[in-house]
Amino acid sequence: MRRTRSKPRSLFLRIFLFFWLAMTLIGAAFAVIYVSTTPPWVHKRKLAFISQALHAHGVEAVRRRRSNGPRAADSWNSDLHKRLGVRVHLFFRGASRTGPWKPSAEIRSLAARALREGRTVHRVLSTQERYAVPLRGEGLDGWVIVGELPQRPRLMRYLQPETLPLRILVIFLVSGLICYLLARYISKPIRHLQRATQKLAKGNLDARVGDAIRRRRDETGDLGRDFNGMADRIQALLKAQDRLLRDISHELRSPLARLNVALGLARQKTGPEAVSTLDRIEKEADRLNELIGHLTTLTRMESGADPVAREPIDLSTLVEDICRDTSFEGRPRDRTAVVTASEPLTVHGSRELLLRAVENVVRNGLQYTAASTEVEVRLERAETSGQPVARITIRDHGPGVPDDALGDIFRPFFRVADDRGRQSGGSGIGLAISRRAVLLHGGELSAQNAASGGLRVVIELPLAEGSA
Amino acid sequence: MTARRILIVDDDVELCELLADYLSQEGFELEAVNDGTLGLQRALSHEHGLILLDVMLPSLSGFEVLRRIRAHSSIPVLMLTARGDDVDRIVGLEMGADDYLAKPFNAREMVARIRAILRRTERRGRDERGSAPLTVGDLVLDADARQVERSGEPIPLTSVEFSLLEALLNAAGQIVSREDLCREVLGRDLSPYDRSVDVHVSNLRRKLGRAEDDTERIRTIRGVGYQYARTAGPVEDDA
Repeated sequence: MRRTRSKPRSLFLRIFLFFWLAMTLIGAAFAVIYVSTTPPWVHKRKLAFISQALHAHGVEAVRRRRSNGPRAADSWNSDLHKRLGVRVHLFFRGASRTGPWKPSAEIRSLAARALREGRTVHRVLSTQERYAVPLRGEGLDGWVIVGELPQRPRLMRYLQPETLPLRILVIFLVSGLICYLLARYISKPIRHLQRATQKLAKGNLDARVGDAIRRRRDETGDLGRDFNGMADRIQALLKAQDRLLRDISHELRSPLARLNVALGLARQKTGPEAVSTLDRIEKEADRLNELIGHLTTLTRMESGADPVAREPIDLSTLVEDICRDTSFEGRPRDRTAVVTASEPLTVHGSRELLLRAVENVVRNGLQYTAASTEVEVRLERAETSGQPVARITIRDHGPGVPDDALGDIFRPFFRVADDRGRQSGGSGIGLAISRRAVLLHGGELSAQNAASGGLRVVIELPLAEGSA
Repeated sequence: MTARRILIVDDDVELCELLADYLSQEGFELEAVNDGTLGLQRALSHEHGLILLDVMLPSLSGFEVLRRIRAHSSIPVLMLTARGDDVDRIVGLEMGADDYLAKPFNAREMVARIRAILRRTERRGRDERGSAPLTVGDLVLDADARQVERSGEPIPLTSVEFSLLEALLNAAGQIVSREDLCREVLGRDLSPYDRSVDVHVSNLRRKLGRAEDDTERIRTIRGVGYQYARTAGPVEDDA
C-alpha cells in the first residue's frame, strides 16, 4: 500500500480538520459578537475616580485661567493630553472657555447635560469614553469639565458594532463556502463511484472508477480500487462463463458432426426395420445441432465480437415476413401469427439479428398460445423518454408467466417451473438471443402478463432519424 | 470424370473418414486433406469437381484458402461454417463460396447440397446441342460456355453467380422471388435466416458494375425478390 506521504491522507483526518476549522471560525465569530454587543458599562468606582481626577484638573485649570489668563489654562490642558492622551474641554454656562481643541456638538450637549443635572454624566462609545463633570466649590458654579479618554485599541476599533451585520454576513458566507467545499470533497468521489456501480449493474462490465479516485490515498481511494478489483473479478467470472459456454458448444460440434455422418452411414447400411429408430435419432441430433447453433449465436453476441451492421431495415416488412413464415409452421398445430397493426418504420441495424429477435419471441408465443388462437403482433410508433421508438408488441393467448418470473424468461435456459411446453421443442435460449439482439440495437425488451391472460412481450427499438 | 471426385479440407480426421465412407455409398469419391496449405495445393490440381472447405483450419484459415482458390479457379466451393456463426457464413459467401453448410450438418442435407451444386455445373456437359447466347443490353451470356461478356469483355463468375445471372436474365424485366432464386440456383428452399441469395446478388452486382445509364442492373424489390432491369434499348429478343 502506498502510505508514505506525510500529508494528511485519511479522510477522517481531513473531515476532522475541516470541521475544526469551521468550528474555530464559528467560535471566533461568537466571541466577536459577544464583545461587540456587550452594553457599555463602567464601574461606579472607576466613574468616581475619573470624576475626581477630572474635577481636580478642572479646578486647577479654572484657577490658572483666572490668575494667568486663558492661555495658561490651554497649556495646562495640552500638558495633560501630552502625558495621558486625555483631552479636556472647559465650559462655563454652556460656552466653551478653553482650547486648544474645538469641542464637537456631542461634547457640548454632554456638558450641557452635566450642568443641567448637576452630576457627572458619561457616554461610552466604541471609539471613546467621554465624561462631563460639573465643578463644585467657591466661584466654580456653572463650570463643567469634559474629558475625552483615549481611543480604544486598534482591535476594538475594528470590531465596531455599527458594522456587525456585515461581519456576520461575511462569517456566514465564509463558513458556507468551507462547508460546501467539504461536502463536495466528500460527496464527489462517492458520486463518481456510484455512477460506476450503476453502469456495472446495467451490464457494462468495462465500468471502472477513473484516475481521480484511484490515485487518492484515502479511504475513498481504497474503496475505488476495491471496486475496480471487484469489477475485474466479476468481468473475469462472466467472461469465464461465456467462454465455458462457447467452449462447450465448440467442443460438442466435432463429435456431433461425426455422429451425424455416422447416422447417415447407419441409414445406408441397415434395412427398413431400423428407419423409425434412425429417424428418431436424427430428430434428436438435429435438435442438438440447433441448440449448439443458438448457443454459438448467443455467445458471439454476448462477447460483442461482431459489430452490428447499420443497414436501414423496414420493420413492417420484417414483421410481415416473420408472421408469414412462422404461421406456415404453426398452421398444422392450428396456431398462427397475425400482424394486427403496422406502419412503415425504419430502424438501423442488422436485419438478421432483428429478424431473430422478433421471430424468437413470435415462435415462443406460438409454442404457448392455446389451440385455435393467434399470436398478435403490433408494430407502432411510440415515444420512450422523449425518444421516438418503434414498438413491437407480441401477445399470445397462452397461460402467461408467473409475475415473479417475468424478468427471468430472457435468461438462457430459464424455464418456468411447471413448463409443459418442453416437448414442443425450443432450445431454451431463443428469448435470450432476442434480448441480446435488441440490446445490441440500443433497444429495450420487456414482458408483462396481459390483463385478459397471455404473455405480452414489448420490444422497443430506436427509430432511424427522419423515419416516417 | 472429375465431377464425382470431391476434395474435403477439414482437420477432423475421423469426420473425414466417416464422410469418405458415407459419400462413397452415394457415388462420390472423397479425398481428404487435413490442413489448409496442402488443401490449397490439392484444390488447384483440377482433379476435383467440388471442394468442401472447413472455415477453421490449422496453418491456413479456410477463408484464406478460399481467397487463394478464387484467385485462380472458379471451382465450386461448399463452405463448412460453425453453426450459429452468421458472420463466417456471410464472409464465406462474399469471398466467393458457392454455398455453405452449417456444421454439425445432417449428412443427407450435405449430399443434397453437393448434388445441387454439381447439377448446375454439370449441365454444361449435358446440354450438347447448344442454345443461342442470351443478350440483354450490353451483357451476353453463353450458357454452353458458361461465360458472360460485358461489351465483349469476359467477366469471371463463380458457378452460383453464373446461374443466378442466368435466372435473372431469362426473366429480364420481371421480378424473380428470392424463394425461386434459392430453389433454382442453390437447389434448396429458402430458410428464415438465409441471406445466401442476397450475398450472391451483391457479389454479382459488384462484378457486373453499373448499367450504361449508371443505374443498378439488378434491382431489389423489397420483401419480394430481384429484377434484372432491361435498359430501354433496341437490343432485345434478337434470337
